Amino acid sequence: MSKKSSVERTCWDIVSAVLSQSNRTLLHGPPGTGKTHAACRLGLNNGQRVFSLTLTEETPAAELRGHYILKDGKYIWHDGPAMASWRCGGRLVVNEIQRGGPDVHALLLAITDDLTIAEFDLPSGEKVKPQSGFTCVATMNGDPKELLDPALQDRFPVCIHIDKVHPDAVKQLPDDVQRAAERTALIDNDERRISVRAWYAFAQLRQKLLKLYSQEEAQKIAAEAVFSNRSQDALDALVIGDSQAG
Amino acid sequence: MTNKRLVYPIPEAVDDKANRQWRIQPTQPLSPRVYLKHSLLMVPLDDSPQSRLIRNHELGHIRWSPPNPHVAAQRNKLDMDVLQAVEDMRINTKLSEIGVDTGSGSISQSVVKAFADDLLKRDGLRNIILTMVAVIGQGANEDVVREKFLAHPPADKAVQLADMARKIMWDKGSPRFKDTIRTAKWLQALLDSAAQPSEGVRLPRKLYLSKTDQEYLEGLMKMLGGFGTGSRATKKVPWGKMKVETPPRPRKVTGFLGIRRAASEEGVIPRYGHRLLVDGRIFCRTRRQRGGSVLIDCSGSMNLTSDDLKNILSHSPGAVVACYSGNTHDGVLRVLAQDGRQVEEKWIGAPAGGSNVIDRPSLEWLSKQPKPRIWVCDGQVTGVGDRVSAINTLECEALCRQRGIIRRDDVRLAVEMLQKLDRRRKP
Repeated sequence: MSKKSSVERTCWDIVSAVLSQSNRTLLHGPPGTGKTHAACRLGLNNGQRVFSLTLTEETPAAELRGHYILKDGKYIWHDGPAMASWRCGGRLVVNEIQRGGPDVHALLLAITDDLTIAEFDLPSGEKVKPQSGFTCVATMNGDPKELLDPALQDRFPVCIHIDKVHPDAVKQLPDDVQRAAERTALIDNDERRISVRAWYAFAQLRQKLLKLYSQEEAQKIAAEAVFSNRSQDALDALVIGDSQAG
Repeated sequence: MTNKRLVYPIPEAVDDKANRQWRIQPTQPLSPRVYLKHSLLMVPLDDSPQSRLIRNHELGHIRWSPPNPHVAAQRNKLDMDVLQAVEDMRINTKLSEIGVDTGSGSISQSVVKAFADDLLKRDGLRNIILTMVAVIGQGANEDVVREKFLAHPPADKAVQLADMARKIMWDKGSPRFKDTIRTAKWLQALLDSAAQPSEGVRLPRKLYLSKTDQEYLEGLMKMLGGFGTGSRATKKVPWGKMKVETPPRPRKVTGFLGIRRAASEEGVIPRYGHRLLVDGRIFCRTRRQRGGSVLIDCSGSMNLTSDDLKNILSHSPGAVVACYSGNTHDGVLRVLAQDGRQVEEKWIGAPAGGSNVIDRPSLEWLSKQPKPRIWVCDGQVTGVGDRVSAINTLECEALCRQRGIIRRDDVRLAVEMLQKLDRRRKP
């Protein structure tokens, strides 16, 4: 394994090094930086399954835990992502963890308990224990110290601030928009931020429109479709940013 | 339906420094600015084409300008407004070069017209030249200002000078900040030479320069045109080291070139009103006295003989007379006459080789001598190695203008002037 010096280490180096080793990890940072992508794809142990769920204020705890469903005239138990990942030692990815209601938070406290003592009684009467290899990765926007319940925060001792767009996401973009995408995705101001997804959509659209229009026209139409009233400023910024500095 | 949503520029996309969080504040179109050190961008945020150009202009500063231009200005002895005008020209022309639309200009046509009219009415030539330089590359705004200035001489010369500045800047391809400095040095030297002399510099009435600003700028343009747009136009050649030689002056000369004013109790027009209660000497009487100074360029281009020098000496009674010439790296200034005494004949001739090399140090010496100060020189000045540069020439022009030095091209013209000044009693 290559040893990297601390000077050149980015948040993504830490994430890829830690994700396979830590069983409870929280990734937080601005939207569109690749947190969910990393939680679902990086650091998976051999054949480890991934179960993911995005929380909202209305998400019931039952959706995470599991519930009865009516099938062929009979009620049968159906595991939610939390129980399913416990049973097979998979990875549970909880997106937007700060948005969950009190019952979801209570369930998450139980699920993320220490693996040696964690245990859950299902309404079916079954007792479930997490299998070895179970890991939980949560993601959220904003600062966990401000937005997360202290007890739940304590369940995620490995808490990594994502301050850079994932390099793989940037690499997918054409050269002329890479720098702009990397920088604008991290702007604090919501009104000014342009996500990597928006840049990606612009690049894709531009590429497709090239078959129908001239390069300049295709670029303008794609920019107007994606950036609306900021389209011309975005194109000008790309041209200026592409020139030699100094 | 008009779109009232604010249009934010994207400084992050052009900034070389990663992780710098920019703050953007809306402002009026006439006062945009960027604080690179504080990552603050103040620009209009409406969606008009003029505001878009302003935003792009400021993004250009973020991309291409250094964070501390005032340090560069100080280091290169440039006025901040000169550096700013030239840097604005660089940004505008570079934006245009890379394909950003600058056609709309940054201010509406009516405002530019009013601004140009106001400038022509109230401001001096310096501001007119700087405005023309700063507006180069601004599409419609440039056209309006150009049209206005061309119709109002001597402002039309500002247009030619600005075009020349643009050529100098783009002489070596796409300009970098060092090209801004190069061009700003040239412009600074030019503005200094064209600046009005200070109040204290007064020439005798009969020596008042008859040249108008128009004529002066025409001469300047002609001279600058000869230097092209390359390094001869913008690279200063260092001056050589000057040695002052004062041979013995055994020959006494009678006569006076200068005048002295003395307070008097008698006269017609009161001059010293403040003396009324002191000694009552409120009138002024002029007395003949030794004064005046003549500096003669003895370089090869002047083709002076010792008879020419003697001719000047004979017409400069009581004046300080000196001649100078240089070798490749240094030169000698020889004082031929001072305090009513002149040197022996053997000293009358070129004090060193046939080069100039020490024009500026000699002029500085002359500027400390009594008035009126006359410089006999054909206008061709050189630095070390006898190399010429527009900057060196402009420096000498500026010094002459600021210190009240009158240049005469040859001996005949110099003698004519000295004859006008001669205060010897006519027979």
